[in-house]
Amino acid sequence: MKKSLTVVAFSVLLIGGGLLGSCGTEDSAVSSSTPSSAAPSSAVTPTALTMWMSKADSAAKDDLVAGFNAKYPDTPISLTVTQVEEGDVGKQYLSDPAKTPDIAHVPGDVVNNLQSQSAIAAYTDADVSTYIDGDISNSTLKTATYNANLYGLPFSTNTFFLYYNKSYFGDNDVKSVKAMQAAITANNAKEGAAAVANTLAIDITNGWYVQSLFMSEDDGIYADDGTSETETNIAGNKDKAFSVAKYIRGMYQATTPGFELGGDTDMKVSLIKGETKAFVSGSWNYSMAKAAFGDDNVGMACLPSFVLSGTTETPWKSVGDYKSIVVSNASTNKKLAQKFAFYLVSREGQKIRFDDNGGGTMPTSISLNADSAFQAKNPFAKVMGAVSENGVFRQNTCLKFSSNWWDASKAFVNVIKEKPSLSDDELKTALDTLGTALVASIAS
Amino acid sequence: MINAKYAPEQKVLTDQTDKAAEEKKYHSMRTKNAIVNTFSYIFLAVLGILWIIPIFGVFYISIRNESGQPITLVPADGFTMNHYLYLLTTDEYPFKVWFFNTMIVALCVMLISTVFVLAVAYTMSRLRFKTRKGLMNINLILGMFPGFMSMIAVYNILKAVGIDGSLASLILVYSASSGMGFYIAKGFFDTVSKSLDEAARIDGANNFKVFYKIIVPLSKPIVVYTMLTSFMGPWVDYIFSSVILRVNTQNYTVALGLYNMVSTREGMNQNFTAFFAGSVMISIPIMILFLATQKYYVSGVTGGSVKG
Amino acid sequence: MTYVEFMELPSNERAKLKFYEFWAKLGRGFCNFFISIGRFFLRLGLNIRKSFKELGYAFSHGDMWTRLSFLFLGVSHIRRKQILKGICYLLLEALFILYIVVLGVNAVKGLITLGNTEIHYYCSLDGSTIATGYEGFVFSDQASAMAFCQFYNAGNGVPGDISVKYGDNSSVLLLFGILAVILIIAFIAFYSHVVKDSIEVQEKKEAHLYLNTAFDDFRELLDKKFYLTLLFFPVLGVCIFTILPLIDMILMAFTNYNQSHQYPASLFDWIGLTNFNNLFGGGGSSGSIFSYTFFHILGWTLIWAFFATFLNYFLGMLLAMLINKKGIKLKKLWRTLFVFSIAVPQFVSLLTWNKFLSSSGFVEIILKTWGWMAQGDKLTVLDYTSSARIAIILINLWIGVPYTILSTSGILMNIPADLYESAQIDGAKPATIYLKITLPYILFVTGPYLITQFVGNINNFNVIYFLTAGAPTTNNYMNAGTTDLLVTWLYKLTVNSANYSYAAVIGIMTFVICAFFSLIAYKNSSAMKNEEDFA
Repeated sequence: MKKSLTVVAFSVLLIGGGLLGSCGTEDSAVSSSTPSSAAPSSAVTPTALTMWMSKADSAAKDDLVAGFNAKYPDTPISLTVTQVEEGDVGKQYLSDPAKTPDIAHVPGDVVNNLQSQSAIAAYTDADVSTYIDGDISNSTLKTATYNANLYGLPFSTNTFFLYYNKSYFGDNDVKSVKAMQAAITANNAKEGAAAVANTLAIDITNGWYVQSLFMSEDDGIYADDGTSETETNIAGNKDKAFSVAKYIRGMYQATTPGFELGGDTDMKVSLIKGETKAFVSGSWNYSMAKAAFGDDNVGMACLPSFVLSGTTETPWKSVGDYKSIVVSNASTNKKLAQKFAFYLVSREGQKIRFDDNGGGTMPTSISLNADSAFQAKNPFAKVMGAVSENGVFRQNTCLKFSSNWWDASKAFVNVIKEKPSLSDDELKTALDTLGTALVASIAS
Repeated sequence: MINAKYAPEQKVLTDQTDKAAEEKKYHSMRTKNAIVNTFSYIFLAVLGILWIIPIFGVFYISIRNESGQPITLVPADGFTMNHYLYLLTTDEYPFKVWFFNTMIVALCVMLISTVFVLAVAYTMSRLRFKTRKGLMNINLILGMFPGFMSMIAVYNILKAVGIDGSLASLILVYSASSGMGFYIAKGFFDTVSKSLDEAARIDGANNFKVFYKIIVPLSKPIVVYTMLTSFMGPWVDYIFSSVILRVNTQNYTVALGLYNMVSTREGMNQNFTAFFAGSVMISIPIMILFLATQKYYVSGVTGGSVKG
Repeated sequence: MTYVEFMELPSNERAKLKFYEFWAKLGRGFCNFFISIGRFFLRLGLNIRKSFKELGYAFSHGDMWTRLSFLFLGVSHIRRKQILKGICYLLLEALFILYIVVLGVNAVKGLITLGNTEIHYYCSLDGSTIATGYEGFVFSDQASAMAFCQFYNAGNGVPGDISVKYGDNSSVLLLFGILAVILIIAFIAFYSHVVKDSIEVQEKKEAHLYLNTAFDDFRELLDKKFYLTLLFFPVLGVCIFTILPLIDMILMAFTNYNQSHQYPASLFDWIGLTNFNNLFGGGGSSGSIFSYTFFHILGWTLIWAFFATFLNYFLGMLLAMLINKKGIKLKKLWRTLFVFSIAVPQFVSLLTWNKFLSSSGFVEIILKTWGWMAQGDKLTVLDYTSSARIAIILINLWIGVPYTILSTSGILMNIPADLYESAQIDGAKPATIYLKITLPYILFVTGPYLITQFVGNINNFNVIYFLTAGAPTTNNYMNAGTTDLLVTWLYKLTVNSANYSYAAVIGIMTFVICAFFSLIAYKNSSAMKNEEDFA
């Protein structure tokens, strides 16, 4: 026992000595260090900044850097981009606080999470009025504001709408689900028509889309306008939530025409086979619409209204999210990084990004959106404008939303999917479980 | 083991009827054998096909001329080898870089692991010292903790030394604890006759000479087995590499790079077939290696368990 | 009771006896477990007492140099001409003292307190440096810092911005604290060893016995102490990359390290056994869902491990025996066919199976083409809990059977032929041969392998994670799906929810369960008992 203890002791001591050398330097508090880039000087060595963006956006990197350096020749930068997909950013950002990038593109619901972990820096009011100066609407900025401070710069609108086959549905047919169903029944009755089995296709198990059904009822999901961390409008047998749950159950039970409620693959199959002539998705699926309906046949509209209870039509509001630019608290060039972030979100920066990444989402810059040349190039301009007016953006801002909603909603819809014939009581139980899961603490 | 119930019968062939009965029994046994054999062949064939189909499926998906998940049995646009070319030439998914990284990591891990495993196995099998049983018990206990549990702390340790995110850290993570997996090698060494050692020691060799002049040359099967299993490790591991490498994309290994290609929804729709093309490209060398060393693998795993 | 008496009993009596014996062995194994733990501590205590006695002896019987060695390690060795050794010991002691003074004391303090300084915000003019004159205004959250600094006018210009100073990182403090404790314990053992060696060296010199020179010591490392040379690096690797992280994680189970208590936003602290209390149902609503999830997932894990191990084993053995049978030709072809699937990486083959079995996947397409499924139906194998679980077990067969075939084939080929011949001479039927010769033989050889497989399957991450990722999800569980095992749940808690303390609790419970099963099995398995017989 003693001899091998010696072996172990020896080795561990050696390692202790080895770690001595590197122990002291790493892992100390990331304290505020002297600024390295604020002072303008005639010798213009560019400051190196790091950034995380998605693959599609990183094509714009060179143009953005060139544009910034041209606009602010006194404070040039050079940019190192790491491609991180937006779904991953939140996790990776928090897993190693010392290795955060200066700037990052994050989805809207991650901003609250990051600011509550003190990982990102706030933008000062003075900077906002200097650089943004009203180009982004206050309501948009409000979605990234927490505790009266702005933590992210929203630069890209992400939402979904209805794609439909223009030669099958007329413009008025897609205004409500009822009208769509009527059109389908009428067309199916015609001679030699290939039977269309589904009104529309929607991936209802995805929290994105099922959100929209709950939000169409003005109460929303989390209480207090989506900010409550302890109460939802779902648990405890709330009537409005129950009618939404019944509607989802109805969607699973519907036949002739029914609804295509599977995932992307099922949607694709259904569209290609011609069983469905309309689907709910966003700009990222434009190619699928073109492939299914034909390049010139793609129609886009706001979601059709539906009947929740009784006979009144409830507008089906899309839910949207603004991708934001955040600056890390651990950055050693905070002011410069924030300056670059403001450039990215300015009309010029947003235009470069949209030119280079092939479009597909909508910019938040008011002046850019109003620009007719830009509108002409962007196939989604009209529908996005309509959706922005009627839709709902970032309504749920509480922390529990980003950590709990996605899995909980999927599990809830799965309960209905597994047994579409479930009784009202079972539905109520599932709804209650959903409500409890939504406010389950994310930590003890 | 032979049960007393089956006492040997006295068989004496006395007359023709007995002989005829014997022949009939022989024929019926032959047909019974034939039937059993046919069923066996069918059974084996069906199961064999079942085992091969997914592998064929991987290849089949990789040559389809579409980018997303397959929705029809036969692809609408035919077949193509473009996905292989795409992976080998594109900058967006630098397969060559991943391949190179993984090769480096695998070679280093192979070397270190083999040395460690052989050293520990020989020590536990042949040398006797006071804490031998104690160390083996500790090893047993350590092995019962889930492997992933220590990942976060290992990442912190690597960060303290400053090498987190590099290939060196990955090599360390894979190979540093490889000494714990010595059981099979030890079983093999247990069966090498001790008389060889003793003869060598009479001739004046010390333990070190016995080890590298006598034991190691005899252990070719187990050395090859250990090298093979430790070489294959880094090619197929996603979990540990994702925790250690995080966003250092220039150091990604093949498994991490390929899996990240399809881990998002858009990724599934755009890179599905390219992912399978990449999988085929890494499976082929593993398969060749595996088949070439199969006999070592078999004798390595079992060679230690039986003695003549 | 002798074997003959046992066989004379009627079969139901035999079954009853075997049943009682099994539970008796279980109970005995359990007691043995606790007894051996007690014995371990007893031996440890005795060893420590012996060490103190020997140190006392060394001091009382040592000459001046030996007594000096208590302070300066290695002095006695230098005096007796073991200069290199003495200098090394002295250097190591110096290094250790240096470590203690510079890092060790702080590390141990950090381990106990787990950090004191939280994150702070200060007013700043440029976002990085603290504005002069504003050093006294310290804030603990960004909102109040911003509210103050943007508008407070101290006469010399409004600061306008804030800068941040990060506080202590509790998890790093934990890690280095543990390292410090390990190093201290190691040094104490080292110290006592060196001091005992000092007196030994003195006594040997006085008795005019031969003392090893440095060269002799090196030579011993290759001969008598060869095990030290061989084991040094592997044990070092295990210490740093397995033992240290493991202790770190185990201790995390006694803290509240989770998403709301992590660096940089906040520190975490020791909370004792609260997490375990939650595990067994205490602690209100969050505790009860944790407890509910744990026991249900534990149940599924055990069922899964049982079926996965035994189905794989028996099917693999059956196939190996079939391939190995006398009348079958093309043995190599059959074996290669089954073994091919090992070469494809598991994350690829399992993803393939997932795509095959999901709706609109290949299996559904084929079934619809052959008309075995109506066009409107969807394949829902992986969408419902019960069918997903069965599918997982079956697909695990696909993954695991080739390995069993390989190992069993080798053993089958090695069974001595004379056993079979004598059985056939005695007129044994084929079934009897398989049951009474082949099966016991294989069980004997691979018995321990079976147990290792069972414990390994409890920790089998790949199959579940890549095949279903725990889906289908349910709201009754905390952050887990219905096909999750304990280890995949651990992974999800760590990577997705940053709930490290709960993950550590699950890790410890997994260990306890594995240890339980391993202990029973190892006490029983004869191969383990007869290890020396084979050598």
